[in-house]
Amino acid sequence: MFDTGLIEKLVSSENYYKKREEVEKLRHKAIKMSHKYHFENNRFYHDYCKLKGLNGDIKPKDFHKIVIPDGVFKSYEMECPEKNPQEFKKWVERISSVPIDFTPKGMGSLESFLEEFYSNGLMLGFSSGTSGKLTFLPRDEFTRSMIVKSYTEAIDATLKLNKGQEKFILGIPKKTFLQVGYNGRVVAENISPGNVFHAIDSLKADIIRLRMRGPRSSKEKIMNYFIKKMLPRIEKNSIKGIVSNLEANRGKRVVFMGPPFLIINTAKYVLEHGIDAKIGEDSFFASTGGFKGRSIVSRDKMNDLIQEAFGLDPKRYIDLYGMTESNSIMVDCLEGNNKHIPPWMEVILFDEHMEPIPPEGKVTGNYAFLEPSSKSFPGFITTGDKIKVDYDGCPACDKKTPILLSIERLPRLESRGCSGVLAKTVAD
Amino acid sequence: MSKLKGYYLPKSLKSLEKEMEFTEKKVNNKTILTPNINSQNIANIVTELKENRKKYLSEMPLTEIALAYGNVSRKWADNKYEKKKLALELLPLLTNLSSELIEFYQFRSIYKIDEKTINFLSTLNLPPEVFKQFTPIEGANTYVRAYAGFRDKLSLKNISQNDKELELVTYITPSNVPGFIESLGIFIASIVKAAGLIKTPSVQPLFAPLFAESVAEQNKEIGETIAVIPWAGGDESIEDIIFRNSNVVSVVSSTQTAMSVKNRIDKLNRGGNSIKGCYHGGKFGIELIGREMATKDVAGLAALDGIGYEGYMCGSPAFGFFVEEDGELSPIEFAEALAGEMEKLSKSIPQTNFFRKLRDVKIGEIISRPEFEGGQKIYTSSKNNFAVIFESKFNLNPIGQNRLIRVFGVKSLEEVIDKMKPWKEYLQTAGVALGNDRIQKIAELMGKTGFSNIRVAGTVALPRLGEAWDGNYPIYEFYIPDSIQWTSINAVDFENEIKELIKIKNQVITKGVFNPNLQIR
Repeated sequence: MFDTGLIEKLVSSENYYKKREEVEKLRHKAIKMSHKYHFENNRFYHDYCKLKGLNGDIKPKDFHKIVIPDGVFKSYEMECPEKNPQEFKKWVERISSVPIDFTPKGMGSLESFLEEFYSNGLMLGFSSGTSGKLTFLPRDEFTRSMIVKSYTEAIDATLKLNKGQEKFILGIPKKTFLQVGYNGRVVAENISPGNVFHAIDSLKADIIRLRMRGPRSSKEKIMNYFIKKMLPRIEKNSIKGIVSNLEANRGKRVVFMGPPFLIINTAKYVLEHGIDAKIGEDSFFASTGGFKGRSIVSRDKMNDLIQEAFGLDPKRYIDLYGMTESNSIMVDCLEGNNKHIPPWMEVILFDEHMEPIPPEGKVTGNYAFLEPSSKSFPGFITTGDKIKVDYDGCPACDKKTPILLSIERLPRLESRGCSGVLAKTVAD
Repeated sequence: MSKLKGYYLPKSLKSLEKEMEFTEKKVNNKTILTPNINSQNIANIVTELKENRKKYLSEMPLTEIALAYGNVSRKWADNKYEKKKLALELLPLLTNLSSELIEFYQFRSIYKIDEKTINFLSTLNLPPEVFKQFTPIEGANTYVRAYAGFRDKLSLKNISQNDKELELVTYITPSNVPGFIESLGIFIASIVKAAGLIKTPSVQPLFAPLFAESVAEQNKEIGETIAVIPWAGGDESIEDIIFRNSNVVSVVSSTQTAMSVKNRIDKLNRGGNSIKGCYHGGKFGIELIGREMATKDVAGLAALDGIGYEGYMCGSPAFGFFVEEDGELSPIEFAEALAGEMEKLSKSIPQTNFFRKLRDVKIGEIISRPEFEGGQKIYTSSKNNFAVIFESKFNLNPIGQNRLIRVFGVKSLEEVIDKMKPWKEYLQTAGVALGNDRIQKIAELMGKTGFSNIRVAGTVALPRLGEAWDGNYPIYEFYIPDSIQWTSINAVDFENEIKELIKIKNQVITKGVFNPNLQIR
């Protein structure tokens, strides 16, 4: 049985401030519960654990053994899932921990295929590699609700949100199965229903796949040509829409979320056109995913631009670190701009020999995480990122959780951050 | 903290060595120094190498060269040799390969560089029958076959290799087979009486300098004609000087690197230079087990092929192990036997955690596919040193590294060879277990498909005297164009060879790889 009550208790902003040992006890209990559930309900995970000599009951010393490679979530063999709906369903069934009790028809486009799953209760959120092979994460209703809760609690621990009152301006699509877009939308709509502006209306999975992997047929070449022509205009219109909204909320508190390149380009537009878009000083900006696919702008330069264009203290611009496979984000604290690991996530770092590194002091390693809040797939995953963590915690704020000091993509792994997808999709 | 040289220069370059700047790399409690080479340094090095070669090597009798390398080989075969002890302490840390694996595959290949090998290679004269059929080669337990057009046949007939004097041979070496290609490059340069310049891979700059020092210990004059240095691959300010001064540039690396060097050498040649490029890019191997050889012991030989260099050698059976039906063991029984043999062999040739974890990632992806529920079977070890997967569905996917052994059942081997045709440019080595009555026919089919090295099961990662290599023939490739495709079979009597190899395999299981009495074949 999946103990949702235990998870609800764990995923709480209060746990950022509680004693580490106390939270660790709760987290370990949740990980053991979640592992047992997936061991009993996920055919792939069951076989994987058996191969490692593990069964349904594990101890913390085994935690590093249960992490699964992120490649599992794109291990399906067909190039186009929508053209092999039954085969693809079999794959989803194997990696999923919840039953799939409908027969997908695969009605044409990838977008409509994903829509079909969604309308039957399972969201297949995706991110993409440069090869164009999409990573799919099956999320049932509970797991999706955990995205909302994890994001909200993490942000709340830092910013104290005025639920129902916040005005959100989102530089992400209103309708998309791209996970980063979905997450931003549902979190904003949950915090302030009806108070959310979307700069982009929709971003279809088929377009993203085409842009990431390149065209394969003459029909796709023609489509790609027109999409390439169209996208700069879409980006420009999005920026105009964002700017109008910022102008309309001059002096008021707003929350502006988007990929960093869109924040930069919006700031540049405001400055170039001499627009007064100075918003309330208690506003904040949030970005995620870095600049993959675009030229990188330093944090200092971003701070200057944000202050100049929007009159916002750079400390109120926070960068978020998350990934498609995770329900959570790591949020910068306002005091020191340090990214905090949420107390409901167990981070495991592996050294170059793939041995777990003891969680003490400042250490760098290959990043894996255990997130017990995922019910529809095992949230115990190794990633393609190398991170540096300071287990001694933040010198600037009162939170008790470890902080992230640096993030880099491991060599030879695809650059596939969600922001990278957006950047590359709309790049010339 | 003791300092080690991650380079080797002739003694005559002592003053240059003093001027050079170095980068330090810490391993264990030792520091490896590698020079930061600039264009002036390299100009001095190639000039000095060529002068030393003229002074010391060009007129040196082959018997003297053979004796020096024979002695080097015997030194390295001695487990008490200090350089070997140092190499076995540090190479595992630099390469993640276990010391047992390095001893069995790398060092045991070096032990074969002896007087007999030198005598064979220096008097090499392949008969014209090689153009018609697999022909036994005198002085080597090998068949050779050449596929060529009329003009190529004529050019081979007309070559007299000693007419063309080689002053400098440059080898650009890879990281996946640490040490072996470097030592081969040093040795082959000497037997064509050329100075040898070796570029080491950045991950492992240690072995080639140690080997070069061993050569200098045995013969100071040969030592003056060798240089081992690292430089940043693709640095044109360095490489242009090297290439212009080399008669031969041999690249063993990724296809991308090999092609990049080829483009630059072609350009230099169009500008009036005469450089022979030998390009060896990435390749994948395969293992073919005939029904008449589908036995437990042959499964052990196949296991040795899967373990070699953890599957990263260009000949490693990355495509998988294809077993014919209707043998003593069925394909699935063969897979089970292979797992049993892997269990035993992995105790003598252990795997480090680094490769085990890489395999875990791939296994995760494989077992997440629905096919895993429909006939695939996986065998793993209690100590987790390997995984054997029996796959019910035929597929060609070169993912068999890190001791991830994939076994397929097939109706006939001919069928598999036919399906390899689209992969022609990536084919090179096949480990084969067949009866003597089938080998010639199947080898002909394989040669025409693009294979160049047909090796008896158990020797895929253990190259032998007299073999072709990667479609070329060693030493010949320095002199003649690449349009001839060379293919070899590395044993004349397959059935007897398999019997002998089984004895070695059993010795490895019972007495380990450092056993001084372990036979070398």
